[in-house]
Amino acid sequence: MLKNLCRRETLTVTGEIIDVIFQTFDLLEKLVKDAIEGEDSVSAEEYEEAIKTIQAAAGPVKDQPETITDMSSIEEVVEEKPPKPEDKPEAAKAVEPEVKPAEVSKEVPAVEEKVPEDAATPSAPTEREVIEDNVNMEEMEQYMGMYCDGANEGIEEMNKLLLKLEKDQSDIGIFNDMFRSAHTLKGMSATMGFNRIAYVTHEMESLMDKCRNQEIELNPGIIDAIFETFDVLEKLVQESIDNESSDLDFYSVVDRLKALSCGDAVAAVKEAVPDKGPDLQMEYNEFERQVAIQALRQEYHCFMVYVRLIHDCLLKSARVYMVVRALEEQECEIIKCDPSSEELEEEKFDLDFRIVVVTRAEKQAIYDSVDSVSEIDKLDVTNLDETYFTGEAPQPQEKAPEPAAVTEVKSPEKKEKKATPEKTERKSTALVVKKAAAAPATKAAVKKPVAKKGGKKAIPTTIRVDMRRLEELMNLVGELVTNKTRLTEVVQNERIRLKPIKGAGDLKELTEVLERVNMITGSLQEVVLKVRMVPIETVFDRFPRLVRDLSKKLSKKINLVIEGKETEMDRTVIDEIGDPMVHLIRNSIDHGIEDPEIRKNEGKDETGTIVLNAHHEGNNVVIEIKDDGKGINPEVVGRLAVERGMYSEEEIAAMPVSDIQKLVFMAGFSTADSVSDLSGRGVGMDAVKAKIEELNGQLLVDSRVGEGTTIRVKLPMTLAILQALMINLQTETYAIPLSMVLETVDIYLEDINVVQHQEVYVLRGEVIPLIRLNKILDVPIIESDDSDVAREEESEGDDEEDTEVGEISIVVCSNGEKKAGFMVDNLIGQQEIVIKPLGQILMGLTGLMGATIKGDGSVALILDIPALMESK
Amino acid sequence: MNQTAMKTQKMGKDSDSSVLLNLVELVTFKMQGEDYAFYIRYVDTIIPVLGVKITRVPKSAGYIKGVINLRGEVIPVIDLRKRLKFETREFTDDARIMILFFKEEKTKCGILVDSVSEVVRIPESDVSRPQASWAQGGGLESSFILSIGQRDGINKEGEPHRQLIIVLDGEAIAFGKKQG
Repeated sequence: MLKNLCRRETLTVTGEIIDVIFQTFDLLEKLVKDAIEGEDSVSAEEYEEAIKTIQAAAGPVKDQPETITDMSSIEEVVEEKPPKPEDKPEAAKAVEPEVKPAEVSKEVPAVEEKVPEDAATPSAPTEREVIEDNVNMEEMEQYMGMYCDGANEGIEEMNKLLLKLEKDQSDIGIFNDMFRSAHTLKGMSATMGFNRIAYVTHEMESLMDKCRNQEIELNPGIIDAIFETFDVLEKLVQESIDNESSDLDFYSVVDRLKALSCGDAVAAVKEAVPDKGPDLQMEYNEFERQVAIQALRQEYHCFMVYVRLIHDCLLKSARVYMVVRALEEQECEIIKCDPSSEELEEEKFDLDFRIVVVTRAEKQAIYDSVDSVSEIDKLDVTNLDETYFTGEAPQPQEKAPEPAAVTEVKSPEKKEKKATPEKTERKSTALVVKKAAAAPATKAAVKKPVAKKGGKKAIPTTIRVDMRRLEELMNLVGELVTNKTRLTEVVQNERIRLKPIKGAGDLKELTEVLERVNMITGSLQEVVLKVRMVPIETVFDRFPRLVRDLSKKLSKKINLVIEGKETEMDRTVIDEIGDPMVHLIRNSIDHGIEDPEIRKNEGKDETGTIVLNAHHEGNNVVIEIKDDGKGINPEVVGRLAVERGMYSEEEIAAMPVSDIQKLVFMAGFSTADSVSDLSGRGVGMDAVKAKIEELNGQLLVDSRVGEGTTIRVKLPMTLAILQALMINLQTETYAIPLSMVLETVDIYLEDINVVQHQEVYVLRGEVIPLIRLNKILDVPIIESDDSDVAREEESEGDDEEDTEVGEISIVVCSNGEKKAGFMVDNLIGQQEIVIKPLGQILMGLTGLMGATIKGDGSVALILDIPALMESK
Repeated sequence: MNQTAMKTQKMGKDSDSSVLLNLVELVTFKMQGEDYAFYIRYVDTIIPVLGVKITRVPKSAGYIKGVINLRGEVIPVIDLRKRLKFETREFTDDARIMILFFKEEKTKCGILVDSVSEVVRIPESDVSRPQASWAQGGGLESSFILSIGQRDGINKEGEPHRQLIIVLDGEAIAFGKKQG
């Protein structure tokens, strides 16, 4: 109940209503206290009663004309406010509409924390914790998918833009686009309650804005920092998606962003923290002020405890906790902290923080108590008197007299407070900071509607669909196609049966309809397949960043050229090839491209080039990674292979150069002399090869020493549908992936030669080993006369191959390295087949890569050609 | 387990009366005239073998009859006669393929049996682990036997007798896993 109420309040809160909530909590506190006094534990009924009262109290809130009941209207209202220049700071604060709910939700538990300081209420602490979680997950669950797609896309987009910017630093306009992405991300995250992401993004935005306004000059340092921020964001987004929270250190990044946005001068200032006393000025709301005044009147003392931690304090939040503990030991009641307790907990502060407490303890006692905490650089305890709270103290100008303005400021005020320490400490830059905070926000407000419009426009053109649904659709279409084929067969048979009968022309109509159905199913299948097609761009877009980072790290100069990124592939393949591609590119950079000096000495351009090319080749997609580096040195590879005991020296000596070069794809092989964290642990390449083969693809290497290496990855366009050549072996039907097939040839049996017990055929001067599929697949021989096929094979059983006469079809296949001819009984033809897995029970059978369902509903097996070639 | 709790007075046996009885549901089938069964929770569908095209799978274990297409899914079929090392015989029209579904493995598997009899419910107490010596005597690999069920039935001569039902371990048969 309590949390429900809180949640609802979180959603309905505008700045204005926060006061009412404070009062509500005040009321709650009172009720709880009453309850405690009356009884030892708080019973459920009493809680309910309390809540009813709260609801009653919340009632008037709803009646207020300005009460806003949903998020969108909050945004609307806020956006309607024209950001006038004179009230810039105010507008700035008002303009963070998406952040607001999150901020507010943060604030609620913070306030509540104070409520049961008399922690006798046993249930209170647990309930308190639940609040935030619920706001975050339970309600947002349904939006998660949308969010994670959006967030990742946003980060990717920014990455792309920043790379562009790095190349052409004069084009500050790119910042505008980046800014928009960042802002969207921030908004989404805050709405979802992922405050960490919102926070980091916000800082990044500030920096970007300064660059955009050319307040600070863009330099590689800034770009690096922003890149790093992207990485952190990506991790944070992932964590949010996984619903985990680790202690990922994003503060260091934020600090860096902050430092940069204040210019280098600030960094220096930060080093030598100015020895400035605590700033007594603080903003209090009515509730806090009342508590303090009441306490003072009841002869409590009120102190402001200012603590600055030492510069290299490691666990800041732990120190804060210890300080708070120390204060609590002195029976201090905390009425206010700056930054807020939430922020303190999350280490969202620099080094100093202030806590306002009411207590009966003396100043010295508090000082001593807090001083016992280690790693404190500076400690100050200041006595606050009633006049301080009653408004004699100068109020910040934001607190305008009209109530509307006051409340307007309320929630964004928290934002401002974060900046307060900077304001006080870095006096010299305080102005700049403030401006920085204000400027992006104002701009954002102007931007927002624009971005929104764009988003709305995009809705009808694309929608996101769950992969599983597509999969389902795919299966259904597959079924439809199967049954359609069957229907065609049935009609065909019927026609043959009816042919001798008079008036059989009736079937004509049926045939016509069937043809139409045929056509429609055909297009349907095509469309479904197309839906699954994604341009390879999504994979390639990761690489500019990767290359940039790696080349910086290794201080190599590399130019990455990407060609054919619009080449489309099935989503399932795209999802799988990312990692192998990263491996291959890393390898090219790490082992392929030489250091600039070496390149210079060899008369090459200092800047190495890596060309990434994707294109269609029949029903395959070929991805080439071509570098102009040093190539794979067969001598080095050979020597290493011998050293590692993989081959003997003689074996290596007898191996052709290209075979030696292929050794790099063997398990446990690495040519890197030094193991870097990029590659060189000897696991990369064999994993790549395995993965690509798993995808039914091929990997080819062409490397010339001193000139460079080209790696060709040949992949099927889709994993679900396969272009296959259907063949017959006796009565059995098999499918051969067309990607493996080079050609089919009819040969005379007497042209088959035997070399070293291996049947071979000389095809255009090339000796091709022949494989009898019937034998290798143990196809039972059917003795019958009416089949040509069987007659040809009859003699085969007698092992009198030499006496065989007649023609036989061979399918010449290649596994990328070797060729082989497969002898088949009958060629049926080329067909698109839907691949079905054989399942766990039949897993691991050599020679088969899956099954498909034929038109007649029976199952045909798909042959694994490379495996058959090896098993021979 | 697909058991139905019933408050029944337990008859005969030596244990307490008025116990909450659990019934196990078995799908029984005949193999070489003997009664076998699978727990009903494993059985997905039963289809007649007649008219189903079974595609031979080369290089597979001998007891794999082949693969079939069941509503768009490719499912392996195990020849139970071969699996249990019975004598091979042509299957009659009564032969059925029992499609078992293994939830954990998310795998379906067809078991080719002589004929399917009925679904029986017997008290759990009438189902016991097989005695090692029994299994050996029967020549059946004991790892395939999950338990032995007993129930009162009528033999060919129309006389009442205690009928034994051998409950097979579908997983062991399909995956070759050892029970336990």
